[in-house]
Amino acid sequence: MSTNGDLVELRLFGPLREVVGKKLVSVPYAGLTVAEALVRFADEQGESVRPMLFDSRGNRLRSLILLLNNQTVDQLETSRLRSGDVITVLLPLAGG
Amino acid sequence: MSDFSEAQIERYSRHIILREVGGKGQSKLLDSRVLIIGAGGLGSPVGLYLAAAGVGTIGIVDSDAVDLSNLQRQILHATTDLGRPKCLSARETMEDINPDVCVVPHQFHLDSSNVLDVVADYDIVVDGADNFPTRYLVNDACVMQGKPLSHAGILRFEGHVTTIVPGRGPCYRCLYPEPPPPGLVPSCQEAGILGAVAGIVGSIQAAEVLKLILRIGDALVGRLLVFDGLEMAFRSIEIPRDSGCSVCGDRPTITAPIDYEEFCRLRGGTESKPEVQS
Repeated sequence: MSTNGDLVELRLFGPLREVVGKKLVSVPYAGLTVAEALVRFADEQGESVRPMLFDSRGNRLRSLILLLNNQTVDQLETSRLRSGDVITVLLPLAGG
Repeated sequence: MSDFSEAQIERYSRHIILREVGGKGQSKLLDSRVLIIGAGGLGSPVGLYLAAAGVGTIGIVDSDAVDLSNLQRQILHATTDLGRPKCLSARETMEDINPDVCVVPHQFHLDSSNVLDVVADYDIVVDGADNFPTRYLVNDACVMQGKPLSHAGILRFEGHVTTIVPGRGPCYRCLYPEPPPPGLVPSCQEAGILGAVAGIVGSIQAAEVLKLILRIGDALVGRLLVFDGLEMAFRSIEIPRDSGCSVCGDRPTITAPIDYEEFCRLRGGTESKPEVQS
């Protein structure tokens, strides 16, 4: 059972926003690392979202920009999320 | 400084009275050479504004013909241009706006065999392509030749724009080391694009190019500007250069342009780092 103290926000753009159907998603991920949060999000959202974050071997796509509170994250595997943090996920756009 | 005609002084008067431009700056614009990749949604506002501004030589790379579905956003082309090569339609529109401008059409598909030769003839490049292979190809060529590149991508109501100055900030591969798997990110053809969003984002690219030529202000170097047209909000994200980048890093492993097919093979290939030679 989550409480407000656990909540972090995922800010989604582009095709990921389309698939999830929201631009902001609140998730009880405080305490997880950014990397763990992405795995959990993919697990919870299901098969339409997973390919936008991970390849078929489970490796995080190298075509993502991940930001924590609008800053690039150097330590995806060790930076622990705190309540109120915002993770931004950006995919490149091809259209011109 | 070039000698302006009476008509030129009048045409460019609103530039010339800007302290940051002046006659000297306008001369720089007239002497500059800019290459636009794609005469589409982004290339249209870029082409129109650069031509109007008096950028002396503007190259346009596009191998397509004007289609009815283009006209909702590709404002270089008109209904009477349907079926004509976009390069030629664009040239006519731009030279019509400003006869001082020489538009050079490059009516072919860019690939690893020709990209360096095309880019070499220009001072600054504008990426308004509609596909990832061309975007990576152009980025790599610009890094290899040290050419500034205005990059933008659009989809639906969203746009991303940044300015790449090799040696001064990150390149496209620093942002996204590899393209997304084929089919993951839809094209405008598949997912749509609000025409005015192309206009907003392309106009930012045009302003960046003019600033680079004039050497004024702060370019979007090391910053990705993310535009959300539904929210009507801009977010500026600072992106550092990646010293391990495969093309602009300290030890580049990509030293010649590569095509998408080659890229796919590398991505599915062995663990060893790609050594790509021409």
